[in-house]
Amino acid sequence: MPFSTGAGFDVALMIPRDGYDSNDIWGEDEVSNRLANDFSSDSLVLEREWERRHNQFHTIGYRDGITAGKEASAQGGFNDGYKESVHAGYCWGLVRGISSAISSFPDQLKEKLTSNLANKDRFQVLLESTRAISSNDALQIFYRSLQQNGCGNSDVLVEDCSSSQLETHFRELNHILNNCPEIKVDLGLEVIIQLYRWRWEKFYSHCQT
Amino acid sequence: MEPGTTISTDFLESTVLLDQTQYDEGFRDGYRDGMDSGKEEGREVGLKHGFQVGEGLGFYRGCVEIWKSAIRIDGNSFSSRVQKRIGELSELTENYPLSQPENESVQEMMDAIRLKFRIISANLGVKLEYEGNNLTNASKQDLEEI
Repeated sequence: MPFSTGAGFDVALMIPRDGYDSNDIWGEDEVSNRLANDFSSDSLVLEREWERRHNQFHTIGYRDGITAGKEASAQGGFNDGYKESVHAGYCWGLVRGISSAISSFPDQLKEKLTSNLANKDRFQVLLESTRAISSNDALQIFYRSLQQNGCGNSDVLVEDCSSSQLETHFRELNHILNNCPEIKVDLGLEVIIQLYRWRWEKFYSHCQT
Repeated sequence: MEPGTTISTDFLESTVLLDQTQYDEGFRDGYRDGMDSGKEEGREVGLKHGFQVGEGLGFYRGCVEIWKSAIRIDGNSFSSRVQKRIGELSELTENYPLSQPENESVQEMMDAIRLKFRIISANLGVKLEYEGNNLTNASKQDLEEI
């Protein structure tokens, strides 16, 4: 039973290892060298063909992969972006809504609400400067404030609270409202807290990376 | 089976395997790059959409709060029918899930808010629109395009 692998007999051991490795008793090396020379152009063609197929299948795979990868991550990216901007947009919307609604009232009601002429004038100024900023402008201002924030250092975070034009308007709104006891506005405190919570989370994630 | 047939089948199998390996390798590279670009593109659309949704809701909420203040200081400033509608709009804006972009009812709720707001504005005979009012649907479509 020369080829049996049972009973501790190993096929590999049948081959004399020294002779097998060092002597080319069948002259195979010589033949293969000759073949290589004769058909070097063929091997070049094969190599090109291999490369062509490689590129072809790799490219198809890459395209499918891009699509699948985008599908897998787009919603997550969308949610991140949304959470980053929605509360800032909300605060800006409040400025627009409050100043617009007050301006639409007849003078008598406007005066009752704003308590004094100074407040009434401040609302008018706020309204005009808010109207000068289109929705698209507001979005661009917001983008710029995000970019300025991007480096994640603590000074910038603090500075940001006073840097954005949108936030300046929001702060002015708060100042006027504090002087107008007749206007009781529930700004949705939860929303404002969310805005700052998001900032802090972002800040902490920057610290960790 | 003829010995020749076996060899050629094996040869084809290895070619197919090689093609599959190259496809898989490409897929892996593409998936990684797609994840990065999808996340970034999604974020950009999300930033725009979130800001616009927030701006819209803040606008409606701001108007509602001022109307409610006016009703508090002068109950006759608006008719009872309008007052009732303002109360309904107030509730709608409070219930809007501002922090849940994936909530399926957001579009329906925003439409209801917008409609109620327009009815009240018409009742009051005032024009309180701003040009960003109708932009929010556009960025949702942007996401579907990615």
